[in-house]
Amino acid sequence: MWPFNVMNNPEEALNPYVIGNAVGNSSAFVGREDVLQDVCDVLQHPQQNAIVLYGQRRIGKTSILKELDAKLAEAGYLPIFFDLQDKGKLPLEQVNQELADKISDKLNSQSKLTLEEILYHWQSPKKLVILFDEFEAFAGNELEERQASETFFPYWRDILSKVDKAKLNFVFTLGRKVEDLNQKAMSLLKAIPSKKVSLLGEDATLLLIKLSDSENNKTLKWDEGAIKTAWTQTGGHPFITQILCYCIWNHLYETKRHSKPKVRVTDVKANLTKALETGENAFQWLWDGLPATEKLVTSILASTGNKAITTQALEKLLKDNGLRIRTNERQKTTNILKDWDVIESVAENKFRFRVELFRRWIAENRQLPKVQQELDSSETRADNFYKASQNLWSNSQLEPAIDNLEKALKLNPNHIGANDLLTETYLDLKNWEKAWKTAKAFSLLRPQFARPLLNQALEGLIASQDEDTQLHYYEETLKIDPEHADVKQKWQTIWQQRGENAYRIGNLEKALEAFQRIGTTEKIIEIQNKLIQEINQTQRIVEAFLIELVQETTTLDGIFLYESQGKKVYLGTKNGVDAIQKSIIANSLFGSKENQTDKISILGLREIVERIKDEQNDREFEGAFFQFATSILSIYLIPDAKVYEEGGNKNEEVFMMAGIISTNNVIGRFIEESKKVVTRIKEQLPIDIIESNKIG
Amino acid sequence: MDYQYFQDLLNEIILKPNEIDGVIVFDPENALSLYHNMKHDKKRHGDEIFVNHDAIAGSLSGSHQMAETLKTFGENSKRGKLQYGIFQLSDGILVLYFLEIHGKPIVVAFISGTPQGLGLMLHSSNANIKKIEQALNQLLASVA
Repeated sequence: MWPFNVMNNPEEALNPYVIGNAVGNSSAFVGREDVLQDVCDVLQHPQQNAIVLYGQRRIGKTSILKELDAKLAEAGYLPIFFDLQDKGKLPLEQVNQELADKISDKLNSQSKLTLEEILYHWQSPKKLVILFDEFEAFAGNELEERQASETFFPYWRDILSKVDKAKLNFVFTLGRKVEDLNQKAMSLLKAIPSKKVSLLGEDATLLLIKLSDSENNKTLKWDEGAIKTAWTQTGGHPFITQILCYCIWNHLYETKRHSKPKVRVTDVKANLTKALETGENAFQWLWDGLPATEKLVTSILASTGNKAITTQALEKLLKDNGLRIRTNERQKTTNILKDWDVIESVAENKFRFRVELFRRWIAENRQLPKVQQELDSSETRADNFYKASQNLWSNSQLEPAIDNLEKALKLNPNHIGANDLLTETYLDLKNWEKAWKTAKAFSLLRPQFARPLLNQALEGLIASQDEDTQLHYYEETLKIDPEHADVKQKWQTIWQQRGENAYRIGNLEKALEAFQRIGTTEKIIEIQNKLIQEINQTQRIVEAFLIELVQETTTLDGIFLYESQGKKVYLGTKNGVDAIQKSIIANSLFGSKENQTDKISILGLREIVERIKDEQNDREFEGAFFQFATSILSIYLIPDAKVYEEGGNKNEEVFMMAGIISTNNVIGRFIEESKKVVTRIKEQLPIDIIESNKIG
Repeated sequence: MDYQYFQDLLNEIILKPNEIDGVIVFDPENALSLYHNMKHDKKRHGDEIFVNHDAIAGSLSGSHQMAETLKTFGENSKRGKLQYGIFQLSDGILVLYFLEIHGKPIVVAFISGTPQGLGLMLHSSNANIKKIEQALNQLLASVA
């Protein structure tokens, strides 16, 4: 909208906020004292003559160079601002000559000099300061840029080492950290001190916001709350602050009829959307500066709102969104986002967005599916491999196609097209195992697209396999895609069949296991009831056997058996099974079922016996006898009664302990009789006792 | 009561024809022997077997907890106080007395290197355990 009100304003009020150009050497340049000081320190240092200023895009690096350009000239230096943007593809000689010409112009030189002539023979009394903007233009990935960097950086390394440090100085700006540059660039810059250009602090941001209420421009009055809100929304990002304030200023001058309108909180809030629209290109530019993985993470983070988020919550979000990012890479990603002032730590393992407006822009314009699509095409190198593989695939050159696809996925594991085509290619080659693995990976990204491929791979994979192997693959597939109806159906059919077969031949435990897997409730209840009946029957048989044994003796009053698998105690006494006795024995000697440890119960005897055997030349334990005031208790171990190969309790050895009690405390006879009884238990014990208790 | 008296007491037990080849007093919590006989009956196996006293104490560590369980069992089932325990091995016998000296569990083990002779062992160990307990009460008080 054309600002009619401004045109009609007799005072010809001017919007002081700048959203296009760098603001160095203008009243809109605020803060940055620390950066300017560091540059001055280098200029005055006898041994140093260069400094790197780095920071995210649009953070104000060029403005700082422009400010230096003006202020250094005032201070008696000869500053040369030289923008390398778009020069990365030019020959080195041409770039150098452009720079040489620029210096010659400033020196009012009549003759055309080469850069070497100027730099190696500096005659001017003024110190030369070359302010290189966008220095990483030569460190790009495109072919011409890579070629240029081969000559450009070694050339400047040579210059820096040879020139007179007292006379020639250099300031470089970079849109990334020195460590992130290619090898050639890094070899030039790594020894040079660097300074991060970050977001503005609160004080500087307030100065910027109040540009319209300053000495040079008194066009707005700012309410304190409005200033605070603007600061909260921009987080000190100079360019975004300018955009927001620019929009507010325009809005107020379009709508208010009186001079010097007041900015209220509502005005700030009312202009947030407008600021997002106006700054679209800037936000896009900031966004484009983020690497692929950082974009994915940022998109997810932005969607959670403006609250702080924990690392654990982020991990869950990534997982829920099917993003595979290795732990190390995730940590690296959050560190990069912090380096670039996108996020900040608010506590240990907790962070949030630094610039709320940028978060809003991402949340509104860069939702995850869109980012994934964007990455597929914008991850140039990965995409190039993918495109090359498409051609190869069309020409039936499948092996080279696989090679390219794997390279693409190494660069971008989330590349939808590459995942898709790689699975298809393995299917074409009937390499079922690899097709299945790739389809599984694809499933994590797009389960619906991957499902038909997963089916094909599975069919090929299990075609000649036995049922156990089929089940294995079905189960593995369901772990990845639990909603895969076809696979689920096949898996259920096998277990259903197994359950019914086992039930038919009376193997109730196997049947129960099968039905429990597929959750057939009716069958489970039916089998459990049958098993309980069987257990009760076992109990009766075993205890009858013990009663028979004890009645054949003269000194014994009772025999009990402890079985470790079911943690059950069976008791036979001369006067029949006594429930109270049984309860006393079970609780006193073995603890409760829930709280049974070797430390607190007679079960510790097993451990002691094993140690005696180990340490005393394999002396075998035959039995323990404990003399009480009015009774004797003997304990025998019946080891290795049964060892389960599967099922059961963690493949533990199942053992039995036989205890014999006598109220006659004549130990000699007791020992003899108890030994005989234990021999009979070992020989005649119905072994089903343990088997039955597996499910007890 | 001094250490020498106690040592003499243990040695005398061993040298009597009572099937006992060794006596060890040990701390079952730390699984370390405190005292043991220093002499052996050469005619028997005491010098060849069960010679590593700490190994015996180690293998019987935790036995005091088992004894606690048995004491509880004795009380609950009205079978009286636990008097001793016997471990019958294929090549030896251990008779264990579970004492409490100054609030700490102490086990006295009478050892035979042969599987026979439990009767004489019990006779002798029952006859000596009181003396050993009294001596330990004083001796352990002096080292605490």
